[in-house]
Amino acid sequence: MIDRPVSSSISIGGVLLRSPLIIASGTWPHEPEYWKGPICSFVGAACTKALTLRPREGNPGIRLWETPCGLLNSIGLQNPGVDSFLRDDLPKISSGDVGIVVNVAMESEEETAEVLARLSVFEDRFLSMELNISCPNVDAGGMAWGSDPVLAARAVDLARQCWRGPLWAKLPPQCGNIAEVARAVEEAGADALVVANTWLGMAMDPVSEKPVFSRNVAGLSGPAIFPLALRLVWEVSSSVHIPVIGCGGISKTEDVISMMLAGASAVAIGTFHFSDLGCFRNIGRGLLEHLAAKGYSSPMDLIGKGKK
Amino acid sequence: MCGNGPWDSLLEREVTLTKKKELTKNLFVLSFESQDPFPGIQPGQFVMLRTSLGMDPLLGRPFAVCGTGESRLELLVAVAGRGTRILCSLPERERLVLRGPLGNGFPPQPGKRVYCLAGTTGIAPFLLARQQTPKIHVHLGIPGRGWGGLATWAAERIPGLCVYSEDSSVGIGGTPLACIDQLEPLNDVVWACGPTGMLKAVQTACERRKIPCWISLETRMACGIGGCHGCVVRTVAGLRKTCTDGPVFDSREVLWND
Repeated sequence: MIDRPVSSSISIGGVLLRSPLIIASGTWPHEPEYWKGPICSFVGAACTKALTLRPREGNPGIRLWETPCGLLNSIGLQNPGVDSFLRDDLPKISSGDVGIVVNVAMESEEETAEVLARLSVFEDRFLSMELNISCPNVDAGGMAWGSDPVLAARAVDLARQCWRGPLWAKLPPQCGNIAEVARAVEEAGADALVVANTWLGMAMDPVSEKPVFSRNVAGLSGPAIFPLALRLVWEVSSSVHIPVIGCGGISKTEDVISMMLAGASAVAIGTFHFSDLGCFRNIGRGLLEHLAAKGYSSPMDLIGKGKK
Repeated sequence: MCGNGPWDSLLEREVTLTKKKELTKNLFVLSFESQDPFPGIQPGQFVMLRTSLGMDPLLGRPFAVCGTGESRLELLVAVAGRGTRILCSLPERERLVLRGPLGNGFPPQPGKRVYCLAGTTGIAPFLLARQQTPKIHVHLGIPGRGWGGLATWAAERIPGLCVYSEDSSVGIGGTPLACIDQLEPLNDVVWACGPTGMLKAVQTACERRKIPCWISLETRMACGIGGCHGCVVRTVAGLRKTCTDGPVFDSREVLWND
């Protein structure tokens, strides 16, 4: 075998990333020291916290609950609102060397259109816009936008009209038929799909004899959900032609390889870096070693290979 | 981690558990040694500590630093659940991962007399403060004789430590709050660390007497660096993150979460 240089770069529908490792939305500080330097050396891009039109305080009460190999969270999309983000946070995180993916929480159509209009002024500062369609559609009785193909397509269609740059849609893991939702979102104009988000779970406090969280349910993430996310990536990537970004429970090099073999073009890592800030470097190095050992020149050689 | 730059190599590092001392049932002093020196640590700053093996427990646990040398660090760890039980059951020479120092400590008070009020393991930051500033006055409250091991150990390190016990079995009967009535608003400052109920009582007493007061909060947290937003507390300035805006706050600002 002839040794070839191994590149870690990948392309997500034309968006070039220096590595397939993306920092998942809602998990990374908007402080400049976290958007540059050695800690980010294997980070291909980082997603912002989910933005809404107005500031959101998030949920009251307990927000975190550790589970076996996992974490339940009920943060409630706390964020300063799009204007404050653009004024205070964007200049700070733009000073680094990590590509920014701006995450937008799908609210009402009017609110989302307004958020995207304000972000569009700064479109060239973002690698992509990630539309979180796991949020409830208040006008449709609180059903998640991404839980139904028609609603999901409507959300992405609206965003497509308001946002000219690359558009990634982040799907909820729990919907009737995720392949149908994925196809509807692809047809509505998404450039890539992020599969998926936290799984709805719950915790009960035996002492108070009440649910732990004020909203009763919370989102489960962490290594415990990895096999569930891997199955969704396999299913969705078999149903669409646009790139899929695997997200859910990734904690080691083997997980990234598995996600890519199942059809992912890149992966998003969230909960695990709460525990291990060195995970990007360790996973990245492990990936390069694996590619070299296999004689591949790029992580793109892995994409979907497990299906052939 | 063996980072290429100073920033990340200081933020998260591997440490060796060099000594484990049980002060009383389910309460330990853990001493760690690092290959690299620690930066200056303010009293009230904390670290996140986790085992280097496995993913369960997944998250590090936050502890205020109670002692430090050049490459040495001490933590006071009470068994409060599964994570702390595992940390306290590790043998000496075990390698762990430590993130920090994190957060903002108690602000220096030049020209003022500082009275540190601690509830049980809340003594941790004041052991460090005493190491750095011998002039401070430290008052420790414990429920009773069951915590006597903590009081004895802390008294060896803090000459003149005032110990209070709720059941009058050790030291003075009552709680450290008793000393607030003797303080002078213009000359004295209170630093407090302990259970939430105690901090609320200190806050109220200091407000009544117009004594400047700083309190160190303890909350659930996942990352310790401001990423997860799991540790927020309600303040007069809105929601603030305990990890990066605190854990030490001016007591007049804290509105609590209930």
